[in-house]
Amino acid sequence: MAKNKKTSASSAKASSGKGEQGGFIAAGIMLLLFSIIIMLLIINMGRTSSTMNQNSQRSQACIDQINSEVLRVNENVLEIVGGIGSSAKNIEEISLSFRQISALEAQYESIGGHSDAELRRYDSAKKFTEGYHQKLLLLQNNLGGLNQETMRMLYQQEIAPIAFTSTELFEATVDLNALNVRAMGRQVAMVGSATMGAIAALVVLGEIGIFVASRIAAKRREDLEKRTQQAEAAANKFKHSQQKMADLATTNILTNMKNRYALENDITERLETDQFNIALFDMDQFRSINDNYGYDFGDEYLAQIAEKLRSDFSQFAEIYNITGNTFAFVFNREISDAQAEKLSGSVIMNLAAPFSIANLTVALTASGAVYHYLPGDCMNLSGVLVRLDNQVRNAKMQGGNRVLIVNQM
Amino acid sequence: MNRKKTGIIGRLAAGALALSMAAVSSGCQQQAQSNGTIYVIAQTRGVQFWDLLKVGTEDAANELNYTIAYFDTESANDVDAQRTYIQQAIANDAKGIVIAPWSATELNSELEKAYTAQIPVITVSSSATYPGVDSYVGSDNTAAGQIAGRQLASVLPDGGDIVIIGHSATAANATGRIQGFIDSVNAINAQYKAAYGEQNTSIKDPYNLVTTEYSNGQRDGTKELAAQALKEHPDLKLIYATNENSTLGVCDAISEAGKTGQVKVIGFNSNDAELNYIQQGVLTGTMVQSPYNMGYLGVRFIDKLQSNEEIRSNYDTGAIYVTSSNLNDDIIQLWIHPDKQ
Repeated sequence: MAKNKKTSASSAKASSGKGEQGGFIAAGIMLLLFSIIIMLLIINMGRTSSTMNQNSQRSQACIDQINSEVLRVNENVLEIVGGIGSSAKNIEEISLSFRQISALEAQYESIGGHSDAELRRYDSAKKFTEGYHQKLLLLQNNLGGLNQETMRMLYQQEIAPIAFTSTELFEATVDLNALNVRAMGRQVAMVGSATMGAIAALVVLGEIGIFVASRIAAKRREDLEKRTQQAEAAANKFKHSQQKMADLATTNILTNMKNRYALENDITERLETDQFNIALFDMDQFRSINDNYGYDFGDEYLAQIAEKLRSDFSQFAEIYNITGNTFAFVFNREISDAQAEKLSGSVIMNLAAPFSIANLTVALTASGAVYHYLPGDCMNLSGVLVRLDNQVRNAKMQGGNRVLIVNQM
Repeated sequence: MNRKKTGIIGRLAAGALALSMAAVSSGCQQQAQSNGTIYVIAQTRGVQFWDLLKVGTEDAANELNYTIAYFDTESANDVDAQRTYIQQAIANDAKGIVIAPWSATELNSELEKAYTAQIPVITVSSSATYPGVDSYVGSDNTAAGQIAGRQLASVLPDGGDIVIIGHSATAANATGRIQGFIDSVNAINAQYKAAYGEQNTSIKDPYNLVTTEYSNGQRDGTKELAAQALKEHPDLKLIYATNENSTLGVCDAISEAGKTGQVKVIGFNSNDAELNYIQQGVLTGTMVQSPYNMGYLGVRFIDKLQSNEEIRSNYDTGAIYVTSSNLNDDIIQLWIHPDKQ
């Protein structure tokens, strides 16, 4: 019983350990997943920012080239206005520059990642460049009819402001592009530091969590062990008291011999199957002892009788003290019917011997009955005892101090 | 047991998430901080020209992360109000002042205070004579007047009497536009004389500047002046007006007098009412400027000055003569409706 308890307790310990292990593995996997996600985020961030930088560099290069083409146009216009060089060559170069500008604009527009503000400024700048081109084409048609002074004023007042505003707006476009890249760079850096912060927090919290969890688990294991021990102790205690109670129930307190319940326990199962010898002995006139000397005296007398029977006969039979002065003998298997009868005769003789109790010597005869029990004779102990009792009563009616055989009834 | 464990892990994850969110949100707040306030001190309230200038300053401020404090004056020539606004800008440690002074000289002492306080100042549309002003961004008003004057050859090929109605006698944008126009008229007359009248002193100038009147810059006042001029000068062929309100006042008078087409009008700017008058033929042509770019570049240059970059001391944003025939050109639409692009 105790062993059973122990194994079940230790198996419970093992299974709870398994559960903890599972929890730690899950926590580990989750931590790993977190780390992988964060790593992917960082890689993605790196890619995004490098694409962003490339796009930005290409965009800025386009705009810079557009602006230098606008300035080249302006130089050619100034040569025309100043009457320097051949205006046909200047006009040719101007249209070449504008073709170049168109190509660069197409290139800029094919690059992604421009902010709305940047595109808006670019759009204005582009319109200014187109307006500039149109103004020049318009003047080109009237070139012959204009004197130098008028051309100079036209250039200064109506052409140059448009040309310069176009370059200024292209510069604003580049500035916005750079601002956007800076802002996104800041954002990337911010997300980066937030991610690092998250990792650090995760690690710290993870460590704390693992520490706390292991502490909790250890505490739980301790608790469990303590409870198991307590349960075992309680079980032992209970078993002990149970045993004691069982002993009490099957022992006669006075004579410390097994009682009738013990006899019932011991032979009930044998009634169907076994052949054995059982005898019953009863002191004759024992009531007179109690009446004359008191119950304490009687008890002491019975205790001495029991002691004598135990010392003389316990090697031949199991002895039971069924009631106050009634004793039952279940003879051992090797004892034959004849031996049982003979031993029973000795019992009667022993019982009749004088006993010295509290400086008084008393001697009482006893009567007995022997039963050569055969399998299936009786249904229960009561049946057996009734037969024996009848023969004991017959012995007493014949004057006592004798043993009768149940089977000869 | 397992459930309890996931509880712990859940709490840890939530904690980590909260920490990272806190980090991100604190970072965001940092980015939203403004670079400071730029004071924009414009002229007349309720005039489309200044509304567009305001939009330009706001767009640039949004792009460059500034806050705009915009002020205009209820009445024309309110130098005192502008003086107060400059003082406020100095008191509030503005990052820059973008101003269209009502007077070329009367605000100089206040502009000097701003200069002493190391606040960059950009004049827009109308300039000031104080040399500490960092830059002028706007149309070259004299040039704009000259461009307007050069249109006479096509608008009034046969010459005639001309009246000028200026919106102010002191604002540099008014005086420049008037002077430029007069320059062109004189130049054309001189050319004419050179061609035909060298020997004959009896030949009159083809273009006769009858008078130059100054309104209070308001539409109604200009209309009265124009009506008066129409009465007093029956041979009047053209009125030249120097800003939005004065152009509209002149158009109102001509339209009411039933002289549409008989008396031509060359004006300034391009609000919806003016565009309407162009379509009706009352307004022959108008000098369109780019107030949006003045405001936009004004703030952009303040930002450049704040980061110690060089800027030009004078930036001509240009002026285009607009008639019903070129009104729909892309660049002109961009100038007229910059906020709708």
